[in-house]
Amino acid sequence: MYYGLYLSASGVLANTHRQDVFANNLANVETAGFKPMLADVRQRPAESVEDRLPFRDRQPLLDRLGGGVLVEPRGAAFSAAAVNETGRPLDAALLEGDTFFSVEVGLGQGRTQTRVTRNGQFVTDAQGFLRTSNGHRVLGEDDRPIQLDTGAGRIEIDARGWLRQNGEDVVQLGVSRIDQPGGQLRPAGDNTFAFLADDPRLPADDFGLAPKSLEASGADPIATLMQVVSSSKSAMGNATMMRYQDAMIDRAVNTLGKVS
Amino acid sequence: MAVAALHAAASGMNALSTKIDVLANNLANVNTDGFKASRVNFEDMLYQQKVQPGVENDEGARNPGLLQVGLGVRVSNTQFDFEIGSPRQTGKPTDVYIEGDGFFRVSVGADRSPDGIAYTRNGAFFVNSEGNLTLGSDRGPLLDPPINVGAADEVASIRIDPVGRVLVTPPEGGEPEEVGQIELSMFVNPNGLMSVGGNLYVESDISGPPIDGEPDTDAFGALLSQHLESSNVDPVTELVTLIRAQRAFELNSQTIQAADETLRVVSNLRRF
Repeated sequence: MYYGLYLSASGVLANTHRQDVFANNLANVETAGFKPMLADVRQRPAESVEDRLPFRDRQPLLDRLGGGVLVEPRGAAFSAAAVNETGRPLDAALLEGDTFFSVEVGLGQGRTQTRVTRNGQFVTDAQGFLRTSNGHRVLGEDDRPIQLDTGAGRIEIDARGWLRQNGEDVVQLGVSRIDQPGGQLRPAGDNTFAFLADDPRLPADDFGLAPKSLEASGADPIATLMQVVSSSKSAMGNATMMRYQDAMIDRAVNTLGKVS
Repeated sequence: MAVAALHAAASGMNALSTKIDVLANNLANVNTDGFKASRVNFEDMLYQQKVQPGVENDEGARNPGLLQVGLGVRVSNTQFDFEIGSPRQTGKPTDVYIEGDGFFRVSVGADRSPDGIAYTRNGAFFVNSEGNLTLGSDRGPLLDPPINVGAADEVASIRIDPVGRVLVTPPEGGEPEEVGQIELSMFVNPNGLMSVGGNLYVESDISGPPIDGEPDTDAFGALLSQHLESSNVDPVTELVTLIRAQRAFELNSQTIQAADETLRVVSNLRRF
């Protein structure tokens, strides 16, 4: 009886976690270049299997039920999202899901960290550095921050990823390819992704880029809302099961075992 | 617990309502000459790490994934769209359109700009009672450097040529006389300019200092008189964005309801 109570409790915990993740995905449904986080669950092995304790009393009947659910650690879903045309000369959208722009993120006290982003909303600052809309410096092909002479004319990004001024190529955006980005990157806020271990970036010689466009959020509003609602209902169903089992235990203790 | 979901959804509603405010202002200014549309940029907030990447399990295998929950969304900034608006013919000789990236300079009070100078793309100039060229906005700021076309009975017609010279023809006819030169300014980072209303922008720390120059040189752009620059707001795009923002706002309110319901059920687990 208690066994079932814990199975249901694991269901409530796992599903409230999923609800948190999906709520964040839905909140970012208008964030350019956002990649939704995955929240999968996996079956938890029975306690005797999990603890590998052969000498413990086994419960062959209950062990078959397994041990409830656990949240499966997963990263973000890095498939390419829809591209919306904005008409702004410094907006750029990458068309393949495994290509990224490189940015330099300041960590304070002069330290910096290289991260990647899919958000192509670029602006120039007072010194002519190209920055993302969050203020991070954008790196060029040589992995150094791009600085432009903005007095020399209008700047635009073309389909090859070159920044052009007065019809001439000035500098190329640093676009790199990352194999299996889900296992190499972690979302770090500010529309950026940090490296999990070593720098996984490979030079991308041939990549698709849509100029004057932005990549929409990877979170689909309708599907994400369905996920929020279904995880909520799963949590509530499991909570109701807890109440039934509580009632059963109540009966067993207070009615069945009543001594006149 | 579902509390993170509540906060994430609330942050979404907050950010989206800012977006709707900005869109409403863009749409309200769809007919304002020289107006530049703004866009709201979003960014995701920090992530709460529940399982660090690469943690070893009992069997010594490394976990390839990671478990983290995002904490919502926030507005990173608003960004002007400095796309040049299309010229609109007015026939008025003191209406001027800039065919480039320059701004007109005007003198304003110290309450609006610390150095007394503001910048505008709206070239609807008037001649005031002293004969000075002023901007046709609520307080009528003077053009900088000031240009005086002379008393009304000495002026038959005014002409502004593409390089910015203001030419006045006297009533008795003859050669037009040059009474002044319109100057323009540009900024390294026009997105750093601060809107102060009245179609005016003022310099800020991040816009960089103004680069002054004359029309029809570098990227300043030549002047086209008898034309004004239409607002660059595209009503269709703005309306579609408004619909999307409003729907996303509603979706986030659904999350709050769902999270609230989960919390209610969980809090009612204990029976009395």
